[in-house]
Amino acid sequence: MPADEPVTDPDRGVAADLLSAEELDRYSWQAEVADLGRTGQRRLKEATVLVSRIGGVGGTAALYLAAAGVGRLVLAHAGPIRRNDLNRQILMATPAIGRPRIEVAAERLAAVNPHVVVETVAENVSEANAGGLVAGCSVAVGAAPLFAERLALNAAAMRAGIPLVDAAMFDMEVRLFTVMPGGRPCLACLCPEPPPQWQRKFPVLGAISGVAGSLAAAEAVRIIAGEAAAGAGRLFVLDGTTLASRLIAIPPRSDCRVCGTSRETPAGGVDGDAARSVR
Amino acid sequence: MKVKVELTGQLRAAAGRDTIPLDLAAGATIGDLMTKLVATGPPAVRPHLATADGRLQPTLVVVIDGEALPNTGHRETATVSEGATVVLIPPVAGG
Repeated sequence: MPADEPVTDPDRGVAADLLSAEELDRYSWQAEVADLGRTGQRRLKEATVLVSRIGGVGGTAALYLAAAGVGRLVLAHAGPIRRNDLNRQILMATPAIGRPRIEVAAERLAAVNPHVVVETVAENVSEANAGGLVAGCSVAVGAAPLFAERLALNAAAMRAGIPLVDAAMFDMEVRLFTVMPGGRPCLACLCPEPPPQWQRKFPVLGAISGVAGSLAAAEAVRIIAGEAAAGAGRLFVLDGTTLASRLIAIPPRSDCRVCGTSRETPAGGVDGDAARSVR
Repeated sequence: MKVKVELTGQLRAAAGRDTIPLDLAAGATIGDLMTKLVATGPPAVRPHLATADGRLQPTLVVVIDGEALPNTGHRETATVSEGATVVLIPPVAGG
């Protein structure tokens, strides 16, 4: 039997397994992970994950989601690679400076795992395209450097009824917060509006943004596999200078404009489609 | 009374330290704590703690002894006890 043909499941007596012999071998070490196993691996293969921005955090998340065997990744990120991206944007490379980030990321992910379908969108998430981007996705990962993008993704994920894993960092600090469908609080309970004091350029060590991205990938994998989200409604804060961590339950806001009693009806255009390229 | 304030994210960077011991009057509130931090800390901490009209930043998570205060708009009136640890967590979006 060719290595890339699906394997017959002896328990079912039919060729029900989505995973080829090559894939079963590829994932054989993680099949031993209690939270994943063979069933979880099949669920990963059937899953689609949107990653909002593929910089230091989102790029690391996308890398590990691809390596883990997520069936389809949708990557949304505008713009070309710059030299000063390279201390943290682990999917990028020096010879690719000037090329579109998503193009280079798709090539890198295909090299890591050719079984993953990568859709690229040369746009950042906005209120105008968020609805279209989350459509058909199993999980969304928020890793944008601007709150407006994170909040737009939160609102779209809530409307679409899919989990949102929001991962962020600053300096030597890592944050993770997960929003489950129908659950509260959401990201807008935690941060109701973009804080004006946030600076677009922030201090970042690639190893720390990598930790945030790795945790986001692990959370997304566990959710897809059917495990309880570790960060649902709870803000995880890791201090990379001391390795001290906090896990804080965030009270939902009754007046939250996304999940509260005063939630807003989405304005026109929120479900607009974004141009996707499949690689 | 003695209270320990722990700072995170941009607030920690603005203050240049991660912990600030404060001496507050008995029965002090989070509003009192904020006022004292603004008065005694570097100017850079102010925008992370307070809005232009002097209210507690709505995006700031305030945690007293491990429990986050509900963000109802009345957090300034929450009281702080002797020996409490107050953690202030401004949002970050580094990606």
